[in-house]
Amino acid sequence: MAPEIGHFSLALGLALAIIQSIVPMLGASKGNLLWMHSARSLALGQVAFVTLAFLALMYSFIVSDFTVRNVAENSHSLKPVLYKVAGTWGSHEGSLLLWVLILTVFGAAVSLFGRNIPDELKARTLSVQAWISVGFLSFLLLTSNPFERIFPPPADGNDLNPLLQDLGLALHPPLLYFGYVGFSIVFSFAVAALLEGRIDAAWARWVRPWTLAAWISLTAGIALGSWWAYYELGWGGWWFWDPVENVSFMPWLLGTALLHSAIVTEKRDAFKSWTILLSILTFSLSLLGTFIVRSGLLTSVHAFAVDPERGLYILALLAISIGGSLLLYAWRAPNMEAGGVFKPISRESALLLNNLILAASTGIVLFGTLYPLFLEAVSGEKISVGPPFFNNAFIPMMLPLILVMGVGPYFSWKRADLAGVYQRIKYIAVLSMLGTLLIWYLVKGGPALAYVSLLLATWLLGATVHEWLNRVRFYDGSFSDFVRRVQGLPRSAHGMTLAHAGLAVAMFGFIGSSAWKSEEVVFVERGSVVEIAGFQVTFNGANQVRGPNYIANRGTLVVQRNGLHVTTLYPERRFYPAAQSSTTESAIRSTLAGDLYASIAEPASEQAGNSEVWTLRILYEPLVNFIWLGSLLLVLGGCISLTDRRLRVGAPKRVQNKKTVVAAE
Amino acid sequence: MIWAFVFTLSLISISFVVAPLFWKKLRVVGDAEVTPAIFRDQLEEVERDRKSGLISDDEASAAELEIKRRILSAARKRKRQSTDLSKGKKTLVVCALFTPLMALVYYQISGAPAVPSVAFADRQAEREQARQTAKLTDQLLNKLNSAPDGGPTEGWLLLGRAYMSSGLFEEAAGVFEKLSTRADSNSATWSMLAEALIRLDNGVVTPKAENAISRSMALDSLNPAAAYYKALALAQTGREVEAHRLLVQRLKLSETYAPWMDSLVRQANSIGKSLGKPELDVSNFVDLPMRGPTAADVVAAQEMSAEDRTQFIRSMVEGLAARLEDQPDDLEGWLRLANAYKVLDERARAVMAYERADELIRNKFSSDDPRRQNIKDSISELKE
Repeated sequence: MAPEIGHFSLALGLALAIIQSIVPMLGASKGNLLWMHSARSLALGQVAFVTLAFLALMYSFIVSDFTVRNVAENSHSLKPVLYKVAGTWGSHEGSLLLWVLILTVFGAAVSLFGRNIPDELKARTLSVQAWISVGFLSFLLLTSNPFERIFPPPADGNDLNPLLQDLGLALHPPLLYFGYVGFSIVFSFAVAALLEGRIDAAWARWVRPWTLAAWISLTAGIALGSWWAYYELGWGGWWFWDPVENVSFMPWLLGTALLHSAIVTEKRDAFKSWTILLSILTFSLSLLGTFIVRSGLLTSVHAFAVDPERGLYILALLAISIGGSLLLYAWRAPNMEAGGVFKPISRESALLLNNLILAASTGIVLFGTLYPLFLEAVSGEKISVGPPFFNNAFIPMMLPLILVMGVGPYFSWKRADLAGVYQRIKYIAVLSMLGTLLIWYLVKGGPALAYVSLLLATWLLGATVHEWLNRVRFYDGSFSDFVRRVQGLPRSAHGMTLAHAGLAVAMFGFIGSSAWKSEEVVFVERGSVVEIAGFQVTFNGANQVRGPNYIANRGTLVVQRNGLHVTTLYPERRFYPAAQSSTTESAIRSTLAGDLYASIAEPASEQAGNSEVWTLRILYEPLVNFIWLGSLLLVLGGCISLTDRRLRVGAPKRVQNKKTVVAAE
Repeated sequence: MIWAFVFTLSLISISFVVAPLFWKKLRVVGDAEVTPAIFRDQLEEVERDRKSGLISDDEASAAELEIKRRILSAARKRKRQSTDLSKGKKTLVVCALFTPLMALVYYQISGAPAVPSVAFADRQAEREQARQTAKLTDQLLNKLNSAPDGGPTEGWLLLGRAYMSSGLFEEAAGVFEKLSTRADSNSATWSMLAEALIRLDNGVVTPKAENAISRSMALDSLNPAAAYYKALALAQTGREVEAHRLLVQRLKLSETYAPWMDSLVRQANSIGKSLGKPELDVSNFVDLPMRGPTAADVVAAQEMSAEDRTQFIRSMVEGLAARLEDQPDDLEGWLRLANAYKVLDERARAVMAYERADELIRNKFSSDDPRRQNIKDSISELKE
């Protein structure tokens, strides 16, 4: 019953989306208020039915109803309940259903919370959002039905992918999708504005919270994904420049640019055309990401051809939405009024530079991700573009950005006083240089790029904190004045400071764990001792332990430093009989200074004939936890900024109160 | 039950479309209401920054001037928004009807309302049965393995078939392979091996399976199973015409009806479809005996909607009734017809069918036939 209810609900969701894609749009162009307002209830109806469908699928997963093909292929009766729930979005069909669910959630959120958005703009925006819904719901129902049935059902489910049995990964796709798909509403706002022919400071204000919400969850999603890779894959790496990672990183880069250019549009009525273009491109990259991941293009260009129906459908959706919106942009953007003018040294210029660098680095990542696919399609040659390309092309692009990031907030709008700014930041520059020299003196050795990066990270952190202290005039006045000013500062200012500082903190992590990482891969027997980064690690053998649905070989490693006991680590190699596959559970001693990271594996039999010999992989990654700490600060900064009172300004209630004032003017 | 949900959900979907018609007071939010508030807020922010010394007085007044200019420009472009809510009501009503209609049309085509949902926890009995079967096959296997002469062929055949019906194709293939090396192996052994191999590979005819088919054909060119798989092999290598011809030839050689003919006809039709061949029926080849629905018919009926299913059953029953009028001496046929009417709750017709059976049994069957009493009981039960 549940799957059929879900199936029918999904069809109703599509029907509502079709109406929502037409009626409010017509209402806005004909001035029909009733039709415009229908968007509000339609958006709620859509989210209600898609949610019902999603819950129906989730229920089928929880009770292991194997008459649903999707459940039979992607679950197993032995899976722990939590991972049955997560299985709902583990498959192609389920993840697309989640995609559509989030799409409709954003539409409904605008319907519920967008009280300060004018009716016309809201109606158009929700209609555009519904166009995307129609595309993806029809894709689901026609090519990837999550409720396809089989009868009689198989004895048990097919899949128990143990790698997916991780909390980080269970939460990763929803968060990532929230960010990915969240940019859809920004896209819809942009297309609606183009159709309406008006983009001004007010528009930028309305769009800002939605951009911010999407950006926050994308940031959290990427950080969580990288955290998962670090803990679960057993490689000790947190970023692999893997295409799946890249396709989520590109919308993040461009979304960050958008977040900043929207500020210029809001404050200065400038960068309008650019902000619109970024809104379109950010979501286009999200769509491209969905396409690349979902079409099977990644496994191989030829895998795509095996199931061309799905791939071609998404490709057509992609072409229509990206091509259509860019055409609309080309047609309407030239009519936009030019905004406020500014001098080369100004807040605007700094943000422009930020935008150019972010856009250019997005281009680099895009090239590195698509080129191998393109080459394989054209010549059949398979190449892989890996970390060396990205590190050499991407990092040097990013460093100037960090430099400007530190100084940008000191600049005032329109035209900045360079000499005055220099006075305020020269000590920070000197201090960060001294700090870097000190580190060089203490550590000795390491790549030059690492020291340059370290200098810039210190600079960014110092400049950001100093700017905030200046703003609240920490250096003069009493402590109570300081507290009052901290309270008086807009939350978005606190948010910016936290986010910028967060990036600096994360940079320490990036630099430490890549430039000063130590790694040992050795064969060990009971009693073997490995020296790494000042630790003596003794292998005390491995024994078998039994988990809920796996059998594990657990190694015991006693860690000492200078003869003193530090900790005991228990890395595991788990075998899941139902899935016939193994995973690595690394053991990590985490401190702020760095992680000692150990994993074991059976050695290849020809290298060691006896089963008592193990391959021990042991790593020391200095400062690696700063990455997650910095990411947390980025997310926190975004959240604080999102609660800024000013983002809600414009609600008619306020207008009512002040109407007399307006009249008096 | 599912249709009650479909109905309720449809009603709810309609309510979402027509909701605006019932909103008493619509909060109209035009540009005029919201845009000035944003600019006013920007003015306040400039003032705040000036007071706190973040920007100089000059900068502040320049910024204020710019914002005021924006207020004016926005006011110039502002258009009056209609507040009329009376227009376009009909359109919403039409849309409201479209919603469930579209969903229903789609669901009629793609839904599977007749397929029951079964949670894993509710399938204890099924698993118990599977366990029992596995236990029995294990016992049989042990017994055969310990037999001094390698075990009787019949025993191994039984084991192979049990494996097949449990979906253990690899094990089944092993058993049939073993049997194929025995002196008493025949065409059927080889065709069963072929079947196990093909099902093991999800319907793909591998060279090994093809070899088994050839051996089977060589031993008995009339073995219908061999013909069936030979056709499958031909069709998979793009030789559909040959495959179709082979099946039709084998069907033509049959003199009386046998159940395997249904599979061959179905296979011939599925191959013939792409070749544009006319649809075949078993009656093209042999005179059909009177029979109830085949296994294929039952499966077909399961996949239908409730309405289609009743229709389908009715047509089957009518066919049976018509045939019985031509050949009225079939007692089993009359009993089946009577039972079918009983299931369809057509009591009068059921009674009539039982009476025909009663007449037949009194005239042409022995007086101690146990069915006599059954028929009498049924008639009196239906007449109550």
